[in-house]
Amino acid sequence: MNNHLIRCSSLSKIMGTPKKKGETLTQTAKTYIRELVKCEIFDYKISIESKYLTKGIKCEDDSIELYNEVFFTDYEKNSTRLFNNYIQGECDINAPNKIIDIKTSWSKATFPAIEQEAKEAVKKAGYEWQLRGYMMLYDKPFSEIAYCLVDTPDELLEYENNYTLHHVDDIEPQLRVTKIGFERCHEKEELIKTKVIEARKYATWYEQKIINKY
Amino acid sequence: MKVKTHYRKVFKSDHLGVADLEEFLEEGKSLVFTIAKVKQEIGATVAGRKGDYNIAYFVEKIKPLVLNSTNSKRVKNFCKNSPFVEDWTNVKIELYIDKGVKMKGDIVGGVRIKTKQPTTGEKPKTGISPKRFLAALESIKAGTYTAEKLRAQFILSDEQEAKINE
Repeated sequence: MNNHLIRCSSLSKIMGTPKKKGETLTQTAKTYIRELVKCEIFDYKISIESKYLTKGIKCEDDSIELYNEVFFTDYEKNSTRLFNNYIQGECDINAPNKIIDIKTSWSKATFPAIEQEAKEAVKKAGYEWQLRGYMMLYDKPFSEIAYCLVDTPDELLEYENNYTLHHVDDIEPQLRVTKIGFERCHEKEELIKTKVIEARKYATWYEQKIINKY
Repeated sequence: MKVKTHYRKVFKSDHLGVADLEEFLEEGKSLVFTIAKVKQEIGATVAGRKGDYNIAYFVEKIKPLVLNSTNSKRVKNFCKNSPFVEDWTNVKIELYIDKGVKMKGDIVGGVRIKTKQPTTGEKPKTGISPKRFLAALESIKAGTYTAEKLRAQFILSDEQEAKINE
């Protein structure tokens, strides 16, 4: 685990500030790192499945198309994963001076309709660190999270009763995208590096505990 | 010439099934139909099994469709949420094949009614606000968007057309 590269999408899990003085990682961070170590030693993968994630994957192209329609752009889905000595990641859109991360909302009810709501959603989910990771990897001065509201595919509505929450294409496109931006911050990137180093130290300690149990 | 036998022939039943929809699609036919009425049939036989079923009959000359729970819920939704099958008349629907439908644990595929009712025609084009037009103009000048795309999306005024051509 000495050279483990943390995924940008998981960065928020290790970036928290511990409550106790003298500690470098939060309990959330430690739980996450233990999980990574166990996956490696016992050779298994954890697959998270949910209707929200499935919609995000299935509708990614629709969301990018909506973004392009609203902002008069011609962006395409990026498929290049980048690495540095600390982290790895694959952003959704690699634009000339920024990276864009597309978040497809599950329904009208969960869609942040204004910037303030998007900020709250980003804070709650810890997406800022994901974008900071991407800016570092792709060497971009800006980044953006765009929440997009597109129709939910029928196969995901099997157990839903209220379809009106999911049929959205009669709403003006510009009302269905809410974005917020971030500027690159080198101090915060240094903090990412520090946390990754601490995470690796903890991973090594945990790994040794497992291997040298008897 | 000897008439060939399609493998699907043995899969067909008296009611609309995946095999029928596959055939419609192969023939390039639309899967938009109108339910004329739904009858609750007690002791009916469907795929060799006797039971009580809600069966939809169509205006078009196609086989009736047995409405399972999911499809019944979708038709109900189109009929002001009335739970009474007598109210489920003249309902325009679009069918599709859901490949993920399971039966006794096996994935078998099934006929599903789309959750959205089919509409007629495309959405009419509208004008574009001055603020959005300026954003579009910037993108066109930056080469990330085209005037053709903008015209396809919006009705532009003469003044806006002139600005594009400047």
